[in-house]
Amino acid sequence: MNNVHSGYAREVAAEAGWQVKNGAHRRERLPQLVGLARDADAELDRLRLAIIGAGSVGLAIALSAARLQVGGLLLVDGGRYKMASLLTHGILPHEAAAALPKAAHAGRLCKQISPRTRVFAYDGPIQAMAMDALVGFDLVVLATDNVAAEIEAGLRCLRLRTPLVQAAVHGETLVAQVRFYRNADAGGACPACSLNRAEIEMLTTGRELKCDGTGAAPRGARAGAVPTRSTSCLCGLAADLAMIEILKYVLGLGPWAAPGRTSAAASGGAAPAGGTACGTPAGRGGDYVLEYAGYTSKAVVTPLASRASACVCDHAATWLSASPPRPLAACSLSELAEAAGPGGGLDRAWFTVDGMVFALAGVCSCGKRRRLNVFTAPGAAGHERCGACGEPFCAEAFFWRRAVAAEELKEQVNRPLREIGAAGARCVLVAGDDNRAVLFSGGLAGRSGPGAMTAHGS
Amino acid sequence: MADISMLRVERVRPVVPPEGLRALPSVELNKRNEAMLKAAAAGSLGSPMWRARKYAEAREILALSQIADRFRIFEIRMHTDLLAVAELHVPVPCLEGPDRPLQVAPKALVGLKYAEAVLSEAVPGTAFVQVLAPMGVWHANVARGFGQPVCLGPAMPLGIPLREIVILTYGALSMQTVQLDPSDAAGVLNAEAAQYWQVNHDRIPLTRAAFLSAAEG
Repeated sequence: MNNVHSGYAREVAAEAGWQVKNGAHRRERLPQLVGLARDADAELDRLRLAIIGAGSVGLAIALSAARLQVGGLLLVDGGRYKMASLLTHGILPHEAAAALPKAAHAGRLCKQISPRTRVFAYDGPIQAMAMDALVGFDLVVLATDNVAAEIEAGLRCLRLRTPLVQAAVHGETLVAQVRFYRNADAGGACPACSLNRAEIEMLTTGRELKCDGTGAAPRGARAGAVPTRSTSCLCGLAADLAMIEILKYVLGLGPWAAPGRTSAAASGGAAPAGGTACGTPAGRGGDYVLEYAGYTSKAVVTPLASRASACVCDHAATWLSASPPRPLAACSLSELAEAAGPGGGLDRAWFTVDGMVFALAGVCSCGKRRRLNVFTAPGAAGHERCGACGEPFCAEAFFWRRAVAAEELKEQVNRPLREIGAAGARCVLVAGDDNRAVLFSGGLAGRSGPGAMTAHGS
Repeated sequence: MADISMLRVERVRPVVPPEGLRALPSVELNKRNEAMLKAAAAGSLGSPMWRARKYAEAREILALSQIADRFRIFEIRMHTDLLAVAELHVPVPCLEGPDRPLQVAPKALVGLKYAEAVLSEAVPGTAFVQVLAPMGVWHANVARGFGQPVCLGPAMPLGIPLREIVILTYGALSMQTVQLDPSDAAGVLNAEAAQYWQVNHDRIPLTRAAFLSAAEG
């Protein structure tokens, strides 16, 4: 079943015949790591990883995480295998030939390896996911060659202040690279900070860097003029380097070993000091890039520069996650604003209902306009019909708002969401003047999304 | 008492600076536009970065309206997205019904929408402009119904300035730039109109006048 339209990942069920209770436990192989001051089992049980991109690098990271039997995994990828995938991905010929969806297939493999891990798969782009889809994850791994997805993932992690690990390769020079963005504050770098002109151009023209080398295609078709070419071993190396950095962060090893720090997953982690004894010259907030150059057999760790002044992303906004005071559909937006306490008060608040727009006016077939003032899907037909042509009034782009100010909502701001067209609201973002916004989750997020792993255990 | 019949009313046409569009930053807003900008900025919401960007874009199109005879702004709002309702003196082809002759309206009322996403995404070319009036626009790159969005291209460059959108809209509506190939999904929102204009290509463009030239009438 396609789960793209819901905006949430679907949980991968354990397949019949797998012995969950009698399976191997990580303790049987996990070494007694030098300098480990924490309960590794507890940390890995708690760890929830989201992996954006389940291709040659992302799949290897996912399988590695599954072998560590982490607590939760979310796999996001809108692509499918091609025969050429066999050359770089850890898959079998029949899986490539069947053009299986990457995320769902990676999810199945992970679940088979680690039935105790709660695995979620989303067969679509990160951009199509609900606003709260990454809430509750301790760390996000970015393993995609899609520039738009890189920006989106970077932006979401910045807002949620969730650490982001980016794994990438440069096939022509046999370079594997891992970037660690801690996202502790607005001053650190994000993936978009280091985009070069060609990558921006790639984004602008809607083309994507692809491994399969297919020709130029329109935006969204997931093909590009400039293929990312690599080898299976280089992709595997990048994945392994990323996984080691993640393990160090989660278990508080090496530069992440900070006195008094008990849980990376629970506390968000402390920044490693620049130039520590362990040799990680971390940049502002602990951001760094680890690069292995195959030609020289050298690994170099360099601090990542602070936020680039020309970065296209807003680093300052912070999204906090919260539960609504009542079921979301029963709440009014003014009630949510009161609960969120946005800077500037209700007058300066604005709201985004995920997946919906607030339609101020609609137009019918004969061109008549009518005030609607309800939440609706973009372009959807309303209930009211035109007296002249009999056609419904449809929300039109100029008169709809994805983010709507309290001032534009007028009296609707005090009515329950279910009475203003948003009965099925998944989550609502309440923002104010102080760069801080509160994300209220409800509905689907609690039932079938990765949020189920945190507040809504099933 | 002055003889009123002796008075001649002349339309004051804006003076285009010799530097053209490069002069926009130095154009001083007139009182009307200054007040409009101030009122819109008072209700502007969003991050400081987005508020500053909206202000700069709004100021620029207001300045553009002062040097361009064919462009006039009626309203600007900046609550979340930057929105402007503007009049564009441009020939607009309209067809009220299949059995009616093609009419060419002398101007269009357009809604301009500039969302924050434009800063970090390559936003589709249909997301910026809607022809609010006249209705029944008969143009390959303008959808019939649904608020008549104008397609300016498959995706606009990241961070494209709003003034560029205005000028692209003029080019699109006047058919100085037009995409008529219905088999190419990039741009055609009305396949029937595309076919019509392929047959009647001798009428294209509807004007050769440059955006900054004086408007007819």
